[in-house]
Amino acid sequence: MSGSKVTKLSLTEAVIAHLLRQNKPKPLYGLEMVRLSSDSDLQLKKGTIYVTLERMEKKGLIVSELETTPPAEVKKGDFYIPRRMYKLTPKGIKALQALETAVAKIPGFLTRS
Amino acid sequence: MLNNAVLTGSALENLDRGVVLAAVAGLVANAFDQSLVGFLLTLFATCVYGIVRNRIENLDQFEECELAEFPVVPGINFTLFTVLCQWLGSKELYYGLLGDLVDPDTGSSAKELRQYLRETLAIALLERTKIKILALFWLDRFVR
Repeated sequence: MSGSKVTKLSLTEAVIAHLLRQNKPKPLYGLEMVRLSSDSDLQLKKGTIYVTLERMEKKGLIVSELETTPPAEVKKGDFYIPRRMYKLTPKGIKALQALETAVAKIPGFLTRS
Repeated sequence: MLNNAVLTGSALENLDRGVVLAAVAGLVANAFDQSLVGFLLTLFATCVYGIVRNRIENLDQFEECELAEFPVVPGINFTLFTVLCQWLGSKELYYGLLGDLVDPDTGSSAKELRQYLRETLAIALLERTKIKILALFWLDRFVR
C-alpha cells in the first residue's frame, strides 16, 4: 500500500501552484497570477481563475486571506477594496512535487528536444 | 429527528442528480408527446429548483462577511453582482473581482470597471455551470 494519497492537479491548478511556489513567501492575488502567466501559452484567464482558486481552496491546496494594508499604488482618496491573497499549503506543495516527479519519470515528456 | 434530517453535501448532490435525471426524462417524454406546455413547465420547474436550492445552500457561506462595510465605488452598483456571487456561493469570486477593481489593469473609469465585472462574471458563470453539469453526470474528472 502506498502512503497518504496525493491530490492530483489539473493543468490550470498546476500553473497556479507553480506561480504561488515561485513567489513564496509573498502571497498573490488573482489578477497578479493572470499577469504573471501572460507570457506563456498556458495563460490563466480572468474569468476562470477564481473558479479554479475556489476549487483548489476546497481541496486544501491553497489558503487565502484578505489583504490587511492597501498596496503602495493606492493613493489617499482613491477607492480601495481589500484583495484576497492566496498562498500554497503544504498539501499543495506536495501535490505539485508529485506532479513534477511523475512528469520527470517519462523521459523527454514536456521538455524541449 | 431534525438533526439527522440535515442533508450533507454529497446527499444534496445525489438529490440534484435525481432532479436532473427526472427533468431529462420529463423533457424527453413531453417531446415524444409533442407537448410544448409540458416541456416548458418541466424546464421551468427545473430552473426554479436549481435557483432556489443553490441560493439556500450557498447563503451560509456569506454569513461571515470579511469586509467591514459594503464597498463604494462611484458609478458602480454592486447589488446584482453580490446576489449572483451569493447564488454561486463563491466568496473567492466575490472578493477576487472586487479586489481586482483596485488594479489599474481593470480600467480607470466606472464604465470600464463595470465592463470588467460583467465580462469576468459571465465567464465565471459559464465555467461554474459547465463544472456543475459535468459533476452531475459523474464527469467531473474532465474538468481542466
